[in-house]
Amino acid sequence: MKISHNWLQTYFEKPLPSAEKLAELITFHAFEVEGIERVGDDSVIDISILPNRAHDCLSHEGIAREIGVLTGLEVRPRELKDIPENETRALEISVEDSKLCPRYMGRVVEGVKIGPSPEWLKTRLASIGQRSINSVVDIMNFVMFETGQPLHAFDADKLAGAEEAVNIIVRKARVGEKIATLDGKDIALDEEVLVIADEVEPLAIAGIKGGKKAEVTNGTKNIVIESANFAPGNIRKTSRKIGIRTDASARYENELTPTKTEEAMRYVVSLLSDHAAGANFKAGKTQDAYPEPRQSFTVSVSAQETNALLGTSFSEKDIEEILKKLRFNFVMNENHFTVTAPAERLDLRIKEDLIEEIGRVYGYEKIAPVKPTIRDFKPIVNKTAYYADMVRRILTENGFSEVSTYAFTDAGDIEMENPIASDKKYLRRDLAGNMTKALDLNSKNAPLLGLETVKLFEIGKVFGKDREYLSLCIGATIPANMKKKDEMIKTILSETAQKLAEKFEVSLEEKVNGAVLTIDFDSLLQKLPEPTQYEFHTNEGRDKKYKKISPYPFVLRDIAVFVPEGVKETEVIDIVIPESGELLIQATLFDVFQKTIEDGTKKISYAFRLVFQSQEKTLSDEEVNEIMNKVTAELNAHEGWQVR
Amino acid sequence: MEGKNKGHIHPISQMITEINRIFSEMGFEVANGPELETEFYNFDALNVPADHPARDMWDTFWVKPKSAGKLMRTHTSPVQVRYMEKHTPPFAIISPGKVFRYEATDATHEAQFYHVEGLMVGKDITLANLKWVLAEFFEKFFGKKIGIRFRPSFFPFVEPGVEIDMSCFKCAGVGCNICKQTGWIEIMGAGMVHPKVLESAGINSQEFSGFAFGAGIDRLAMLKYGVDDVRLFYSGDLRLVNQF
Repeated sequence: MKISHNWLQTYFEKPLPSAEKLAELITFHAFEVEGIERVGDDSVIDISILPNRAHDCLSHEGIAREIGVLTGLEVRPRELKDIPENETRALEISVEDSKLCPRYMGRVVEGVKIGPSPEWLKTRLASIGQRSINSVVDIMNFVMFETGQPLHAFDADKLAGAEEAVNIIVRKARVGEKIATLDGKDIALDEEVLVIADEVEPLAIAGIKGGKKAEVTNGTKNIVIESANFAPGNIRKTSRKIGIRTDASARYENELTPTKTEEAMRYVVSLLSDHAAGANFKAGKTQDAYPEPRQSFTVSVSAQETNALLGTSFSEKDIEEILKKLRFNFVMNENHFTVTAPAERLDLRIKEDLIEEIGRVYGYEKIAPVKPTIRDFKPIVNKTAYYADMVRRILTENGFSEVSTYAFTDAGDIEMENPIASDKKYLRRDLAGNMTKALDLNSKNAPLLGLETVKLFEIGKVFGKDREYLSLCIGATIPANMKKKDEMIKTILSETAQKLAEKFEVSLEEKVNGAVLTIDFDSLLQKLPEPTQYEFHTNEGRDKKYKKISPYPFVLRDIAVFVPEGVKETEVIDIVIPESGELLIQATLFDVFQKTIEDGTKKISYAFRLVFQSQEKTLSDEEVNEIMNKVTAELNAHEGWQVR
Repeated sequence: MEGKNKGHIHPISQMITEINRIFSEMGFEVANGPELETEFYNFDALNVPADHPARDMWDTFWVKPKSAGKLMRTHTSPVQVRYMEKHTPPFAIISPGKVFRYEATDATHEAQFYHVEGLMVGKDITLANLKWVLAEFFEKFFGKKIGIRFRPSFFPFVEPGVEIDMSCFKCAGVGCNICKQTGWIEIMGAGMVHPKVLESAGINSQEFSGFAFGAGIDRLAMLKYGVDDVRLFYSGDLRLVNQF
């Protein structure tokens, strides 16, 4: 929630620390701060209020209370005038189900004058990104962002039976009913939706959005104010169903205390009398449907319990001081502190909640680390992890590299209710599909990778109709065109399977389909002995740093050179690489042969496949040719060397 | 086979093995569980009731039909619940594994990624113990002393709940592009296991207490190795894998 620093200041006599200082206090003792923004001469702090404190802190009042606790500054009591009850048209409220609406306060206010809001009010709303609409609507919104209590106003003259008496009915909607909302949406209602209605039809979707029928417009003279409490579960369900989420519904769905409605009602009428009062301003009797007033809650905790959870060593005196700092009402019995949870603190219900209050206000940074002692626990070796790691070692030693692919795919036995994409509707039933795609992808990049054969494996979960199990898949492909390619691939796979079978001394029951071989790894595991100790090998790749993959195409060039007998391949590559510069990313020897020329001298030919790629652009032929010319010239400069 | 032609283990697998090793040496057991989970184990048993705003903290993949209450697990906490149901304290476990979140994918967000979560339950396990275990883990993981700090936060399955920052392993707190000049990196969520969660798993919360923590492995890998796009981990692309 956006909290204005200037607005917060109105709660305090003494000057507040800067927004930055406040943000720091809040971060380490209360909530996460998303950021601070300058808005004119104000600073607006964006605070992330999570569900456990949405009951009391989605308001400047709530944050001011927190700031008061964290800084020790006194929070000023709210200034408002209690407007006496006068003769207006009568207001009757009937609530069908008090479980869905625990409290409904209504008050008729006649003789309002709608106009533009005073500047200070416009500024307040603008600072937190709210539009000014008119004085009455703005005051309703202002009170919500002040107190956390959403309010709503109906144009009293637009309600059925308006002149003499108005009837507000809080009920479930009936099938077939609909409502045109304030912002022009037509919503179809059903018996799960709670509505505020008059005798004829729904006027508002309770707690979420008002309807056009009783909208407060510039001509409105008389209103009915709603300050109510609604059951959170129902509000949330309805809000999701109709796809409307508002500042009001966000507060209701996190649950508010019904005691909040009172002060908000008094406050809003006070503000209306100051800023929206016409000649005959009159406020009627406050009607209050509150059949089951909330009882207060007490929570108890001891110093010993606190220390046992936090690992601190508080004395009773220490706890007493922190509870005082928290401004809680509490009594002490023996060694237990019994705190009366403030009405709006719906999150304080068990001793752990209090311990959190104590811990966060004390400061988690003050808690020193302590080594735990766990006796009598013998961890067993995880069989899956043990054998999977063993398989990884064997396969990588045989030139296979590991891939990890998506569980969601375009075919399978299990379908998602809400797939992330139309080609990812199902859970994969095997690893073969993804393996084939991966073989293809890496085949295209084989020169870049310096690979003659692409050999991959994956260990991952697959999902059959009745069974989720771990599968091991290995695949191989040979990018170059050659005869007997398929046979060679078959051999690679079967030889590799053989190696695994020998290591494990069981039959793998593998399934082969062309270039892909799969093994039911969970079934295999069942046949293997329980490991007694992990075999962790140190990782060579521990301190590897990733080099960004270039999005630009690579360029291939071959270069072959005749050298005198005795010249090693490394001597040639030691020239080719530096001469080629940093655009060369791969150099692979792909052919060697010896030749005896007419005069009996022997020569060797080394042929290299070079791969060029830039991180910044697509390389042109000219650019690469230039490099090749340089390399050729340098090689030819050596006595007896000849580039072919 | 020469070293030159050796294949490469996926960096995420390497990281998980490393994490398993460090925690095993600290006396933790490694636990596994299903990826296709039930609503009960993923939410209800963790004190995240239906129709509660806390559910919005995880965007969930549901399996058809929704009424069956089956989903792709959004964290590996269900593994911990299953473990608690079958064991009596004391115990210490980690549960590394694939998790799923319904999120638009981009360079820092994926629909599937890896989590590692830890749980230690015993007669007098405290928040101070959590601090010690995590400091120990980070030191072994990064090969040097790493500062950690706790900030108050909320998760339905812990109380107190905290967010954990670690001091930047690259600049040691001076400020750099990795830690966005702040000197700190947000790395984990954690807290003391909520008594409702213990009780729901059949553990007496009056007798035992425990801490739990969770971190995203992909994020850790991106930070440690400098990988700039999380989607690269799942594209089957050796241009990534073979760098490790």
